[in-house]
Amino acid sequence: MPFATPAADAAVVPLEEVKNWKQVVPPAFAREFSCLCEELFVALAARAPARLARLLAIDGLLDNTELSLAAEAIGRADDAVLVRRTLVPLLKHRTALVREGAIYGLAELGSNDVRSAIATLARKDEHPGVRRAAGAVLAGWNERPDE
Amino acid sequence: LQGGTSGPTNSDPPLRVLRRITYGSVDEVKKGEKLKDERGLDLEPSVYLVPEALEKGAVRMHAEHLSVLSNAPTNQPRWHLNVGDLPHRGLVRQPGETKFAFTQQAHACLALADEADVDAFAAAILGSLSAVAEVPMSDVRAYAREKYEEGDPEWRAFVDDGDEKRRKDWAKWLRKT
Repeated sequence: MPFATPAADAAVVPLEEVKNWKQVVPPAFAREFSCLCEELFVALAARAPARLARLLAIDGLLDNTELSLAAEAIGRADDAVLVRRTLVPLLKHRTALVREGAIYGLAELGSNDVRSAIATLARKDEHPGVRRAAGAVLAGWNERPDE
Repeated sequence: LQGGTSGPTNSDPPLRVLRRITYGSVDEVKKGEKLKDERGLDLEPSVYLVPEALEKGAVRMHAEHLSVLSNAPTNQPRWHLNVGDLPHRGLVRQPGETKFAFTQQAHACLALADEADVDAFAAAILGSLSAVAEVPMSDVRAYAREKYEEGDPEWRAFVDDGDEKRRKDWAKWLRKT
Protein backbone atom coordinates (compact mmCIF):
# COMPACT_ATOMS: atom_id res chain seq x y z
CA MET A 1 0.00 0.00 0.00
CA PRO A 2 1.46 3.38 -0.91
CA PHE A 3 2.12 5.96 1.73
CA ALA A 4 1.61 9.67 1.27
CA THR A 5 5.04 11.07 2.01
CA PRO A 6 5.51 14.81 2.64
CA ALA A 7 7.07 15.09 -0.82
CA ALA A 8 4.11 13.38 -2.42
CA ASP A 9 1.71 15.66 -0.62
CA ALA A 10 3.55 18.78 -1.72
CA ALA A 11 2.27 18.70 -5.30
CA VAL A 12 -1.27 20.05 -5.06
CA VAL A 13 -2.68 20.89 -8.47
CA PRO A 14 -4.76 24.10 -8.46
CA LEU A 15 -8.48 23.41 -8.53
CA GLU A 16 -9.05 25.01 -11.94
CA GLU A 17 -6.39 22.79 -13.51
CA VAL A 18 -7.77 19.47 -12.25
CA LYS A 19 -8.96 17.34 -15.16
CA ASN A 20 -8.85 13.86 -13.63
CA TRP A 21 -8.48 12.13 -10.29
CA LYS A 22 -4.81 11.24 -10.78
CA GLN A 23 -3.95 14.92 -10.47
CA VAL A 24 -5.52 14.99 -7.02
CA VAL A 25 -4.13 11.89 -5.32
CA PRO A 26 -0.47 11.56 -4.33
CA PRO A 27 1.64 10.17 -7.20
CA ALA A 28 2.24 6.89 -5.39
CA PHE A 29 -1.49 6.23 -5.35
CA ALA A 30 -1.87 7.20 -9.01
CA ARG A 31 0.77 4.62 -9.85
CA GLU A 32 -0.67 1.93 -7.60
CA PHE A 33 -4.31 2.22 -8.66
CA SER A 34 -5.49 2.15 -12.26
CA CYS A 35 -9.01 3.34 -11.57
CA LEU A 36 -11.29 4.97 -9.07
CA CYS A 37 -12.32 2.13 -6.80
CA GLU A 38 -13.21 1.45 -3.20
CA GLU A 39 -9.75 0.07 -2.45
CA LEU A 40 -8.22 3.40 -3.51
CA PHE A 41 -10.67 5.33 -1.35
CA VAL A 42 -9.94 3.20 1.72
CA ALA A 43 -6.19 3.54 1.18
CA LEU A 44 -6.51 7.32 0.82
CA ALA A 45 -8.63 7.52 3.97
CA ALA A 46 -5.85 5.83 5.90
CA ARG A 47 -2.82 7.56 4.34
CA ALA A 48 -3.91 10.75 2.64
CA PRO A 49 -7.37 11.70 3.90
CA ALA A 50 -7.04 15.35 2.86
CA ARG A 51 -6.62 14.24 -0.74
CA LEU A 52 -9.69 12.03 -0.49
CA ALA A 53 -11.60 15.00 0.89
CA ARG A 54 -10.43 17.00 -2.12
CA LEU A 55 -11.60 14.28 -4.49
CA LEU A 56 -15.01 14.46 -2.84
CA ALA A 57 -15.14 18.23 -3.06
CA ILE A 58 -14.39 18.71 -6.75
CA ASP A 59 -17.67 18.80 -8.59
CA GLY A 60 -17.92 16.39 -11.51
CA LEU A 61 -14.72 14.48 -10.84
CA LEU A 62 -16.42 11.38 -9.38
CA ASP A 63 -19.71 9.89 -10.49
CA ASN A 64 -22.47 9.28 -7.97
CA THR A 65 -21.46 5.70 -7.16
CA GLU A 66 -17.84 6.71 -6.65
CA LEU A 67 -18.91 9.65 -4.49
CA SER A 68 -21.02 7.33 -2.36
CA LEU A 69 -18.21 4.83 -1.82
CA ALA A 70 -15.63 7.56 -1.22
CA ALA A 71 -17.90 9.23 1.31
CA GLU A 72 -18.23 6.02 3.25
CA ALA A 73 -14.48 5.42 3.06
CA ILE A 74 -13.45 8.82 4.43
CA GLY A 75 -15.42 7.99 7.55
CA ARG A 76 -12.50 5.73 8.43
CA ALA A 77 -10.09 8.66 8.63
CA ASP A 78 -8.76 9.61 12.06
CA ASP A 79 -9.35 13.33 11.51
CA ALA A 80 -12.91 13.78 12.75
CA VAL A 81 -12.94 17.46 11.86
CA LEU A 82 -12.02 16.68 8.26
CA VAL A 83 -14.61 13.91 8.09
CA ARG A 84 -17.39 16.15 9.40
CA ARG A 85 -16.37 19.10 7.22
CA THR A 86 -16.33 16.89 4.14
CA LEU A 87 -19.42 14.82 4.69
CA VAL A 88 -22.01 17.06 6.33
CA PRO A 89 -22.43 19.11 3.11
CA LEU A 90 -22.91 15.85 1.18
CA LEU A 91 -25.98 15.07 3.31
CA LYS A 92 -27.69 17.66 1.09
CA HIS A 93 -26.36 16.26 -2.20
CA ARG A 94 -28.98 16.10 -4.95
CA THR A 95 -28.47 12.34 -5.39
CA ALA A 96 -29.81 9.89 -2.80
CA LEU A 97 -26.95 7.46 -3.38
CA VAL A 98 -24.43 10.10 -2.34
CA ARG A 99 -26.44 11.06 0.72
CA GLU A 100 -26.53 7.41 1.73
CA GLY A 101 -22.74 7.13 1.45
CA ALA A 102 -22.30 10.29 3.51
CA ILE A 103 -24.56 8.85 6.22
CA TYR A 104 -22.39 5.74 6.45
CA GLY A 105 -19.21 7.83 6.56
CA LEU A 106 -20.61 9.88 9.41
CA ALA A 107 -21.73 6.75 11.24
CA GLU A 108 -18.19 6.55 12.59
CA LEU A 109 -18.62 9.86 14.43
CA GLY A 110 -21.78 10.42 16.42
CA SER A 111 -21.31 13.93 17.76
CA ASN A 112 -24.49 15.81 18.60
CA ASP A 113 -24.51 18.00 15.51
CA VAL A 114 -24.02 14.98 13.26
CA ARG A 115 -26.74 13.03 15.07
CA SER A 116 -29.07 15.93 14.62
CA ALA A 117 -28.35 16.13 10.89
CA ILE A 118 -28.87 12.39 10.44
CA ALA A 119 -32.05 12.51 12.51
CA THR A 120 -33.40 15.19 10.20
CA LEU A 121 -32.72 12.95 7.19
CA ALA A 122 -34.39 10.01 8.92
CA ARG A 123 -37.54 12.09 9.32
CA LYS A 124 -37.64 14.28 6.27
CA ASP A 125 -35.52 13.06 3.37
CA GLU A 126 -37.53 12.67 0.18
CA HIS A 127 -36.04 9.24 -0.59
CA PRO A 128 -37.31 6.26 1.46
CA GLY A 129 -33.94 4.53 1.25
CA VAL A 130 -32.16 7.54 2.70
CA ARG A 131 -34.70 7.77 5.51
CA ARG A 132 -34.19 4.08 6.21
CA ALA A 133 -30.39 4.26 6.12
CA ALA A 134 -30.38 7.30 8.38
CA GLY A 135 -32.78 5.59 10.78
CA ALA A 136 -30.61 2.50 10.92
CA VAL A 137 -27.51 4.50 11.76
CA LEU A 138 -29.42 6.46 14.40
CA ALA A 139 -30.63 3.22 15.95
CA GLY A 140 -27.06 1.99 16.10
CA TRP A 141 -25.96 5.14 17.90
CA ASN A 142 -28.83 4.88 20.35
CA GLU A 143 -27.56 1.45 21.36
CA ARG A 144 -24.19 2.91 22.33
CA PRO A 145 -24.94 6.34 23.73
CA ASP A 146 -21.53 6.67 25.37
CA GLU A 147 -19.72 7.16 22.04
CA LEU B 1 -21.36 -28.23 10.35
CA GLN B 2 -21.85 -25.85 13.27
CA GLY B 3 -25.22 -24.27 13.78
CA GLY B 4 -27.42 -27.27 14.24
CA THR B 5 -28.41 -27.82 10.62
CA SER B 6 -27.47 -30.36 8.03
CA GLY B 7 -26.04 -27.55 5.97
CA PRO B 8 -27.29 -25.23 3.27
CA THR B 9 -29.09 -26.68 0.29
CA ASN B 10 -30.03 -25.31 -3.11
CA SER B 11 -33.58 -24.86 -1.92
CA ASP B 12 -32.55 -22.40 0.77
CA PRO B 13 -33.05 -18.69 0.03
CA PRO B 14 -30.11 -17.21 -1.89
CA LEU B 15 -29.23 -13.99 -0.06
CA ARG B 16 -27.16 -11.35 -1.78
CA VAL B 17 -25.30 -8.85 0.41
CA LEU B 18 -25.93 -5.32 -0.86
CA ARG B 19 -23.92 -2.16 -0.29
CA ARG B 20 -26.62 0.43 -0.90
CA ILE B 21 -30.41 0.77 -0.88
CA THR B 22 -30.82 4.05 -2.81
CA TYR B 23 -29.64 3.23 -6.31
CA GLY B 24 -31.30 5.33 -8.97
CA SER B 25 -30.30 3.46 -12.13
CA VAL B 26 -29.20 0.09 -13.45
CA ASP B 27 -25.72 1.45 -14.08
CA GLU B 28 -25.44 2.53 -10.45
CA VAL B 29 -26.44 -0.94 -9.29
CA LYS B 30 -23.92 -2.57 -11.61
CA LYS B 31 -21.09 -0.36 -10.43
CA GLY B 32 -22.00 -0.21 -6.75
CA GLU B 33 -22.51 -3.95 -6.44
CA LYS B 34 -19.46 -4.72 -8.59
CA LEU B 35 -21.50 -6.47 -11.25
CA LYS B 36 -19.40 -4.52 -13.72
CA ASP B 37 -16.06 -2.90 -13.07
CA GLU B 38 -12.76 -2.24 -14.83
CA ARG B 39 -12.13 -5.98 -15.00
CA GLY B 40 -15.38 -6.65 -16.82
CA LEU B 41 -18.70 -8.24 -16.00
CA ASP B 42 -19.43 -10.43 -13.01
CA LEU B 43 -21.37 -13.28 -14.56
CA GLU B 44 -21.30 -15.20 -11.27
CA PRO B 45 -22.65 -12.87 -8.58
CA SER B 46 -22.22 -14.28 -5.10
CA VAL B 47 -25.01 -15.33 -2.80
CA TYR B 48 -25.26 -17.24 0.45
CA LEU B 49 -27.80 -20.02 0.84
CA VAL B 50 -29.09 -19.45 4.35
CA PRO B 51 -31.66 -21.86 5.78
CA GLU B 52 -34.70 -19.96 7.02
CA ALA B 53 -34.89 -22.22 10.05
CA LEU B 54 -31.37 -21.39 11.15
CA GLU B 55 -31.50 -19.13 14.17
CA LYS B 56 -29.64 -15.89 13.52
CA GLY B 57 -28.81 -17.19 10.06
CA ALA B 58 -28.70 -13.77 8.39
CA VAL B 59 -26.74 -12.30 11.30
CA ARG B 60 -24.26 -15.13 11.04
CA MET B 61 -23.98 -14.67 7.28
CA HIS B 62 -23.17 -10.98 7.64
CA ALA B 63 -20.76 -11.54 10.53
CA GLU B 64 -18.81 -14.20 8.68
CA HIS B 65 -18.96 -12.26 5.41
CA LEU B 66 -16.98 -9.51 7.11
CA SER B 67 -13.97 -11.79 6.99
CA VAL B 68 -13.60 -11.16 3.25
CA LEU B 69 -13.00 -7.48 3.95
CA SER B 70 -9.48 -6.16 4.21
CA ASN B 71 -10.39 -3.87 7.11
CA ALA B 72 -12.74 -4.05 10.05
CA PRO B 73 -16.09 -2.62 8.96
CA THR B 74 -17.63 0.74 9.63
CA ASN B 75 -20.86 1.12 11.60
CA GLN B 76 -22.87 0.88 8.41
CA PRO B 77 -25.99 -1.30 8.73
CA ARG B 78 -25.84 -4.52 6.75
CA TRP B 79 -28.29 -5.09 3.91
CA HIS B 80 -29.25 -8.20 1.97
CA LEU B 81 -31.85 -9.27 -0.57
CA ASN B 82 -33.35 -12.63 -1.34
CA VAL B 83 -32.55 -12.86 -5.05
CA GLY B 84 -34.14 -16.27 -5.62
CA ASP B 85 -36.91 -14.78 -7.76
CA LEU B 86 -34.65 -12.40 -9.65
CA PRO B 87 -33.67 -13.38 -13.21
CA HIS B 88 -30.77 -15.80 -13.48
CA ARG B 89 -29.97 -19.05 -15.28
CA GLY B 90 -29.11 -21.27 -12.37
CA LEU B 91 -27.15 -21.71 -9.20
CA VAL B 92 -23.60 -22.99 -8.96
CA ARG B 93 -22.29 -24.08 -5.58
CA GLN B 94 -18.81 -22.69 -5.03
CA PRO B 95 -16.87 -22.55 -1.76
CA GLY B 96 -16.93 -19.06 -0.29
CA GLU B 97 -13.83 -17.06 0.55
CA THR B 98 -14.72 -16.35 4.16
CA LYS B 99 -12.74 -17.79 7.05
CA PHE B 100 -15.72 -19.78 8.30
CA ALA B 101 -16.99 -23.21 7.35
CA PHE B 102 -20.65 -22.22 7.38
CA THR B 103 -20.38 -19.41 4.85
CA GLN B 104 -17.84 -21.33 2.81
CA GLN B 105 -20.43 -24.08 2.41
CA ALA B 106 -23.37 -21.69 2.06
CA HIS B 107 -21.74 -19.75 -0.75
CA ALA B 108 -23.00 -20.08 -4.30
CA CYS B 109 -23.00 -18.12 -7.51
CA LEU B 110 -25.89 -17.20 -9.73
CA ALA B 111 -25.29 -18.07 -13.37
CA LEU B 112 -25.57 -15.16 -15.80
CA ALA B 113 -24.70 -15.45 -19.48
CA ASP B 114 -23.90 -11.99 -20.77
CA GLU B 115 -24.34 -8.28 -20.21
CA ALA B 116 -28.03 -8.48 -21.02
CA ASP B 117 -28.39 -10.95 -18.14
CA VAL B 118 -26.38 -8.67 -15.84
CA ASP B 119 -28.56 -5.72 -16.85
CA ALA B 120 -31.71 -7.72 -16.16
CA PHE B 121 -30.40 -8.86 -12.78
CA ALA B 122 -29.34 -5.33 -11.84
CA ALA B 123 -32.70 -3.95 -12.98
CA ALA B 124 -34.46 -6.51 -10.81
CA ILE B 125 -32.34 -5.47 -7.82
CA LEU B 126 -33.22 -1.85 -8.55
CA GLY B 127 -36.89 -2.78 -8.55
CA SER B 128 -36.59 -4.74 -5.31
CA LEU B 129 -34.83 -2.20 -3.10
CA SER B 130 -37.90 -1.81 -0.92
CA ALA B 131 -37.64 -5.52 -0.11
CA VAL B 132 -34.05 -5.32 1.13
CA ALA B 133 -33.65 -6.67 4.65
CA GLU B 134 -31.49 -5.09 7.32
CA VAL B 135 -29.28 -6.61 9.94
CA PRO B 136 -28.08 -3.96 12.39
CA MET B 137 -24.35 -3.81 12.80
CA SER B 138 -24.89 -4.01 16.57
CA ASP B 139 -26.41 -7.48 16.07
CA VAL B 140 -23.52 -8.52 13.85
CA ARG B 141 -20.97 -7.30 16.37
CA ALA B 142 -22.80 -8.88 19.30
CA TYR B 143 -22.85 -12.21 17.48
CA ALA B 144 -19.14 -12.01 16.68
CA ARG B 145 -18.24 -10.95 20.20
CA GLU B 146 -20.27 -13.77 21.73
CA LYS B 147 -18.58 -16.30 19.48
CA TYR B 148 -15.15 -14.89 20.24
CA GLU B 149 -15.70 -14.75 23.99
CA GLU B 150 -17.02 -18.30 24.17
CA GLY B 151 -13.83 -19.42 22.44
CA ASP B 152 -15.20 -20.37 19.05
CA PRO B 153 -12.06 -21.59 17.25
CA GLU B 154 -12.96 -19.97 13.93
CA TRP B 155 -13.61 -16.57 15.47
CA ARG B 156 -10.51 -16.85 17.68
CA ALA B 157 -8.39 -17.63 14.65
CA PHE B 158 -9.96 -14.89 12.56
CA VAL B 159 -9.56 -12.12 15.13
CA ASP B 160 -6.22 -13.18 16.64
CA ASP B 161 -4.28 -14.15 13.52
CA GLY B 162 -2.42 -11.81 11.21
CA ASP B 163 -0.21 -8.79 11.82
CA GLU B 164 -0.49 -6.54 14.86
CA LYS B 165 -2.34 -3.73 13.08
CA ARG B 166 -4.97 -6.11 11.80
CA ARG B 167 -5.41 -7.76 15.21
CA LYS B 168 -5.83 -4.36 16.89
CA ASP B 169 -8.27 -3.27 14.19
CA TRP B 170 -10.58 -6.25 14.71
CA ALA B 171 -10.18 -6.34 18.48
CA LYS B 172 -11.23 -2.67 18.60
CA TRP B 173 -14.22 -3.44 16.41
CA LEU B 174 -15.29 -6.32 18.68
CA ARG B 175 -15.09 -4.10 21.77
CA LYS B 176 -17.43 -1.43 20.38
CA THR B 177 -20.69 -1.58 22.26
